[in-house]
Amino acid sequence: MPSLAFESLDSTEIQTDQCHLWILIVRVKRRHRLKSVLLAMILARVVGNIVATQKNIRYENARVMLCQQITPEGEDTSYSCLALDSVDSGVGDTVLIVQEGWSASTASTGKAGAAIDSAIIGVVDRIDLLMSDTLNVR
Amino acid sequence: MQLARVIGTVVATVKNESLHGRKLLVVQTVDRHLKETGKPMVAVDSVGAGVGELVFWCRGKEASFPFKRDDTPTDCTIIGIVDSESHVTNGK
Repeated sequence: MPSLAFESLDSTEIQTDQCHLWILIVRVKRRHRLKSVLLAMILARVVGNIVATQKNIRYENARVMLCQQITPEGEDTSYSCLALDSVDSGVGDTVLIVQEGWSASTASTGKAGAAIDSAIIGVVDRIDLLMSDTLNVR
Repeated sequence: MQLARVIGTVVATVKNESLHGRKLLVVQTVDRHLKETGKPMVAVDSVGAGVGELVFWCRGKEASFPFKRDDTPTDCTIIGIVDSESHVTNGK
């Protein structure tokens, strides 16, 4: 399969099969964007934790953290969620949250099959982004 | 997983066999400031929650894991009860 360079996309010399490939990529990306609210790994800031004595027996010793999703630039979004902690994160940390059951359960309890749909799997040290004007040029 | 407040119960006499004996509750999702967000939903209870309590729920396939996992039809299950509102620390 030929690799597509971004520079070649605007040129008129694109082969038809490359065109099809590009359309396919766009479609896949669109589909992922629709699902990304629920199913992607998200960046979040830990804003607190909750105490629940009565909870599912499979994660009795785990900490449940209250997290606020953020953009890569660090601004809050409207989405907040609870996640089980597997990396000893604390309030104020920027973390990576996985929102898929098998991974979340394995990461935070060591075994699959617990009733968990999100877990903190990493503490983010820093995020490197392109300058916004560079992005606009592209 | 998200925080929610239990705001009511649902009574359904005729339901799937594997849901017999299970409690169905109406939950209203709340955000981290405990303000209501989104529409109320029906959730199956796995921990013995009651009306008025602050709980948290799990969505998707994982929601059936507290029960007989392959044949309990649920995609939203209450999996924990928050001890009280003061047990939700928020930015302090």
